[in-house]
Amino acid sequence: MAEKEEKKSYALLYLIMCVALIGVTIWAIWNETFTRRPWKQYQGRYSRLEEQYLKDKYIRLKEEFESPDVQAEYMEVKKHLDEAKSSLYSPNTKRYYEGLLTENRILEEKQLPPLMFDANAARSELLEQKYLYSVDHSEETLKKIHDLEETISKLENRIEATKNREEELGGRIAEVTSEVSKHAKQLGTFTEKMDKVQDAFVSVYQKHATIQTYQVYFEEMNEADRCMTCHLGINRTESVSTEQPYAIHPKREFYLGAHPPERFGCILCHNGQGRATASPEKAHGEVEYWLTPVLRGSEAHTSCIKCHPEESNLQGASVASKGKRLFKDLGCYGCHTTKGFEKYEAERIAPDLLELPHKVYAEWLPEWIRNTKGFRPDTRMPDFKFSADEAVAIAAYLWQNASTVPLPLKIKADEKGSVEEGKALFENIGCLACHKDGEKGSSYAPNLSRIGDKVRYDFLVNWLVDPKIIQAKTNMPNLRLTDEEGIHIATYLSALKGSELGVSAETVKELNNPQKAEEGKKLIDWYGCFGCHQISGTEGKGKIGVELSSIGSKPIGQFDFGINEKAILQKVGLRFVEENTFKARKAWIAEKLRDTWQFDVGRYKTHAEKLKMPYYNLSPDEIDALTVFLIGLTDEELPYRFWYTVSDKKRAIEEGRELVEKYNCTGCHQFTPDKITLVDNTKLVGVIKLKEEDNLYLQLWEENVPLEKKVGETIPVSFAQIKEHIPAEGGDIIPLIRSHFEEEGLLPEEANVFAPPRLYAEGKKVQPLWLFEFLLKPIGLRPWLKVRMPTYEMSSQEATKVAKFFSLIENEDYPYVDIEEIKKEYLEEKEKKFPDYLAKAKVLFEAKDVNCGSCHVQGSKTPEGDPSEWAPDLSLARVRLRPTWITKWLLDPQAIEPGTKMPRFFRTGELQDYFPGTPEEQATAIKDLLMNFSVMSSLGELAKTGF
Amino acid sequence: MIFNVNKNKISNKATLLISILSLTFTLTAYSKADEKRYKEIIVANGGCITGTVSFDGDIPPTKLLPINKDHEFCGKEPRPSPVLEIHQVNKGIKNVIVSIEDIFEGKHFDMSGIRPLLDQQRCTFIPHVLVITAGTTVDILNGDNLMHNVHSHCTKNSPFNEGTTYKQRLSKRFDFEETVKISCDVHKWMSAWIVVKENPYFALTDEEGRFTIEVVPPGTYKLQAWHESLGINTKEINLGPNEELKVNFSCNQK
Repeated sequence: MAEKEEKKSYALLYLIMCVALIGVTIWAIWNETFTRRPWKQYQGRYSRLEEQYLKDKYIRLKEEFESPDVQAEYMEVKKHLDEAKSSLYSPNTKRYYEGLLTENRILEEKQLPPLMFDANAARSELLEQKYLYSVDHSEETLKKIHDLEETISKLENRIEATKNREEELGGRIAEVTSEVSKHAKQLGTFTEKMDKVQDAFVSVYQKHATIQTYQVYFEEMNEADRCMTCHLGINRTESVSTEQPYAIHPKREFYLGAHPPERFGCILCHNGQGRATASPEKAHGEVEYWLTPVLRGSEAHTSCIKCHPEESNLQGASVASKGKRLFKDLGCYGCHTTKGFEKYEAERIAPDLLELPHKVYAEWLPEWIRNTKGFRPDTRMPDFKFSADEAVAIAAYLWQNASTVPLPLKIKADEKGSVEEGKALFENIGCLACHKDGEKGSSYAPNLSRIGDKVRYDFLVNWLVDPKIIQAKTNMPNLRLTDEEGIHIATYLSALKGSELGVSAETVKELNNPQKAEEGKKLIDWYGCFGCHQISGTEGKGKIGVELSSIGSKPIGQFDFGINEKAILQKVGLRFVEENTFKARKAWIAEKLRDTWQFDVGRYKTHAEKLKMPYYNLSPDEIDALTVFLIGLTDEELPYRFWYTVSDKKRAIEEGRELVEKYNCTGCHQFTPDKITLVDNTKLVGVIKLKEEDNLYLQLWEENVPLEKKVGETIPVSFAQIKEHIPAEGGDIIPLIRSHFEEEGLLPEEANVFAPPRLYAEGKKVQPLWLFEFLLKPIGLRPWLKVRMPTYEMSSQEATKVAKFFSLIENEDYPYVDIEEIKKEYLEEKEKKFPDYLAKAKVLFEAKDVNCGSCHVQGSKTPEGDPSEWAPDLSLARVRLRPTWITKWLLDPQAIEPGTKMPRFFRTGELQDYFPGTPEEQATAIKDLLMNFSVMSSLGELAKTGF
Repeated sequence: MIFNVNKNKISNKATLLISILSLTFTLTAYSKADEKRYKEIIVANGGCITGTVSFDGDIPPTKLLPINKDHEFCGKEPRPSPVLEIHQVNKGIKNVIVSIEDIFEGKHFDMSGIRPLLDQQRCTFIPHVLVITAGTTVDILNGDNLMHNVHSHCTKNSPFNEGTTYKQRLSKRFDFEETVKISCDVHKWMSAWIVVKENPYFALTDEEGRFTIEVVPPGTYKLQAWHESLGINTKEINLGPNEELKVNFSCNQK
C-alpha cells in the first residue's frame, strides 16, 4: 500500500534540485561573463602590455631626462626661471605688478558687472517701451524711448572703455611676466613627453575590460565586423607589442591609411567570420564548413583586386598582381572563360597556324609538338606530353589544312647573304631587345637559339622585311630593313641550329597521310589547340576548360583531389576538405598547377574522362602568384562604395602602360633611373656607372641638396651605406649594345652613346602631337645609332594613348603645347631688351665658337664629315621639342642625358661678342631661334622629313 | 663626410696638399680597404727603376687619320695617328705609362700648384697622354680659332662635355683613379688620355720609349706598362736599397 502523500519527504529531491539550480546559475553567469567573452581576457592582456610599454617608455624618457647633459640644460633653464621670478618679486616690480593685478581685479569684479547689469536692464525697458509705442503712439513713450537709447549708448561707451583698460592691463601683466612664462614654458618641454606618457598610463590603468565588442556594421551586406574587439593594436600609431592579436598592421600607414578600418573593417580584405567572438578559430572562420576562412599575409592581396580591378600593377598587392599578369600572359583565358579577360580574347596569344608548310620544315613540326620544352626550354607553349604518334597526327592535320591562299613572299631569296653581316645587324639593330640568342637577350619574344632548325630561309627573309603582311596580328614590328639587310639577318638566323631533330623520312611522309590528319583533328578538338592558335577547320569552337570566373566560391566538394587527397591535404595541415575550405581549395589549385594530371593517377579513366590541361612548368613563385589570384575570383560583389574610383588621368596612364608593355618599349628604352636610399635616408637618383667590390659609382640624374651635388656629377657610394636600391626599369638591351661596341674597341662610356635613348622624363621633352606622329611613322633621328626604332603599325588610338601616357606621367600639358615663342607679343618683348633679337640669336647660332651646324642637320643642310657623326635635325625642334626643355638642355646637356656628345656652350661671361647676356639668356635666344626656325629657313624642308 | 671631396677648390700650393691628404682621408671613410690608400713617408735608401718599353716585331705602318672637316684650321692632309708611335731606330714606344700599382707608402709628391695643361692645337690634343695624381686639376686650352668640344669619358670621376672657344681656359678636377679618354665629338680623329693615379710612382715614356721612376722604397712590386692600344703588361720586380734597377718591357699587338 502506498504511503500517504503527506508523509513523503521530498527534501532530498529539493536539495538536489537546489544544488543543480545553483550550479546552473553559477555556470550561466560564468559562461556569460568569461567563456563567451574571451575578448575580455585579450583586452585585459592588452592593457597590461600597454602599461608595460608605457612604463618602459617612461623609464627611457626619464633616463634621458636624467642624463647629465639634459640635466645641465634643465638646470640652466631652471636657473633662468628662478632669476626671472626673483626679478619679478623684487620690491619695485612687485609693487607695480601687484598694482596691476589689483586694478585688474577691481575692474573685473567691481566695475564691469554693475555697468553690464544696468545696460541689460535699460535694453529690456527699451523693448517694453517700443511695444507700448506700437499700442499708444504717445509722444511721452517716444520721449522715453529716446532717453533710454541715450542711456544705453552712454553705458555701452563706458563698458567699452572699461574693457579696453582691462585689455591694456592684461598686456602689461603679460609684459611683466613674459620672462617667467617663457622660461616656465621652456622648462615644461623637458618633462612634456614624460607627462604625456604618465597621463596615458593613468588612463590605461583605470581602463577595465568591457563586455562590449567593437563593431563595424556593413548594412548593405548585413555583415558585422568585430575583429578589432581583440585586435586592439591594429591601427595604433605605436606598436605596443608584436604579440598576436595585439600587433600593429604591417605597413599600417600604407594599407590602413587608405582603408581606415572604421569604414572598411577587416573582413573585406581578410575574410573570416566577422560576427564571431567566441574563439579565435570561430572568428577566423577556421571551422568546418565555413565558406570564407581568414586570408593571411599575401593571400589577402587577392582581395585588393576586388575593388581595384582596373590597375595592373597594384602597389602592396604584388603577389596577386603578378598572378593576374601571369594569367593574362600565359593565355589561360584561351581555354577558361574568365570575367575581366574578355577584352583579350579577340587576339589569340599564339601564332596563327595557317601558313605552316610555307614557314617551317616538315621534320621540325612533329618533334616540336611532341616535346616543346625539349626544343626550346623557355617557350611559352605548354607541354601536352603527346606520344610520338599523337604528335605526328596533329602535325599531319596542320600540314594538310594550311591556308590555300599563297603567302605574299615578295622577296626572292635564292641566294644567301653574309653570316657575319647578319650577326652584326642582329646584334646592334635591336633584335635582342625582344628575342634571345643563347643566353643573350630578352624573353619577351621567342628564343631564336635554334631558329635555323625551324623556319625556312625564304620565309624568314620575307618575314623580317615585313612581318605584318604575313601575319597582321603579330607583335613583331617592322624594322624598315632593306631586302639586303633582311637576307643577311635571315642567313645568320638560319645558321642557328641545335642538335639533330631525329625525325625520320617516313615520319615526314606521314604528314601527308589523310588518315593521320583525321586522328589529329580529334586530338586538336579534344585538347583545344584553337584556344591559343588559329587553325583552319576549328572556327567557332567553344572553350574547352571550365569557367574560372568564380573558382574562389566553387563548393569545395566539387574539387576532385584524386586518390592522393589525404597526402595533399596533409601538406597544408588538414585532415579533410571541410576542415578549412579555403586552405583545401588553395591546395588543390596549387597542386593542379604543379602537376596537372596527378588527379588521374591510379584510376580507371577512359580517354574522354581524362584531364587535358597541359603542363606549364611553373616555378613555385609563379604557382603561388596564380593561386592567390585565382582564389580571389569569387561571385561575391562588394558594395560599390568600397570600390576604388580610378581617375581619368590614372586610367589613361594605366592604358598607356599596358601598351608600353604590349610593345615591349622597355626592351630598348630605360624608363626610370636607379633609386638608392642610404642608411641615413639620403635619397639618390641616378645611373650606376660602375660597380666595384665595395662600392658603386652613381651619376646623379636629380640634384641632391643635402650632399651639395648637382645633376650630372658622379659620387661613390659604398654598398654598406645602401639601405634600399630600386633598380632602373627598362633598357634591357643597353648592356648588350654596350658590350657589342666595347668588343669593337670602344670604352664603356663611348659605347653608351650607341644605346637607345632613355625615356626618363620624355614627357617633359617632346611635344605630344609630335610623339603621336612619330609612333605612327618613326623616322631616324639620331644618325649615329645602329639600333633602330621599329615601325609598330599601331593604330592611331594606340599612338594617342602612348603619347598621352608620356605627358601625363610628367604632369605635362596634353595634347596642345602653347608655343609662345612664335607669338608677336613675345618677340616684341624680347626686341625691347635685345634689338634684332632673332638675327642676334642667329649670329650666336652660327658663331664659330658655337657653330651648331658643325654637327647638326638643318633640314636639307647637312654638316661636313661622315653622316654617322651628325647630330639630330634642328629643323624638327619646333614641332618635336617642348621649348622649356630646349633651354634646360642647352644649359647642361650632361644633366639630362649623361654621356651625350652634345657639349655645353653657355657659361657666365662667355660668347658676349655674339650675344651679350647671361647663359640663360643665350640659351633662351637659341631656343627662340629654333622655335622660329621653320619661319626663318623654309617650310619646304620640313616636308622632306615627313612633316 | 664622404662627399666633401669636390667642395674644396684648390687655389694655391698649400691647399692642394691639404686637399690630397683630405681626399685620402675622406676616401678611407667608406672603404674597407683602408690600409690600401697611399701614405707619404720619408723614403730612406730609395732605389730607382729605369728601362725602355720597346715594340716586339716589325714596326707596323703608321696609321693615317683622315681629316674630314674644317680644313681651313685642321689642314687637309691625313695625319699620322698619335695612338702608336714607335721609334724607327730602337723601336721604343712613346706614351706608355709605367707605374707601380701595389705601393701604398712612399715619397712625398709635390705637384702643388702645378696645373697640367691639355692644349688643342691644329685640331690635335697636346699632349696625347697626360698622367696626374688623384685630386689634380687639369687646365684645358683651345688654341684653335674654332669650336672644339672636350668630352671626358669618365665612370668614376664626374664626366663633362664642354664646347670650348678660342684661347679659352677650362679647369677640371679629377678625384678618382681612372683612365679617362678625352675626345672631341666635332672632330672625330682627335683623342687624348688623362690617366689618374693614386700614387706618384709612374713615368711616361719618351720618343725612345725610356722611363725612370725614382725614390722607390726597397721591396717587391708589380710594375705595369699601360698603352692605349697595346694594353697592359706587368712584371714582378725586386728592388734592393739604393739599387738602380733596369727593367725592359717588350710589347706587341695582340
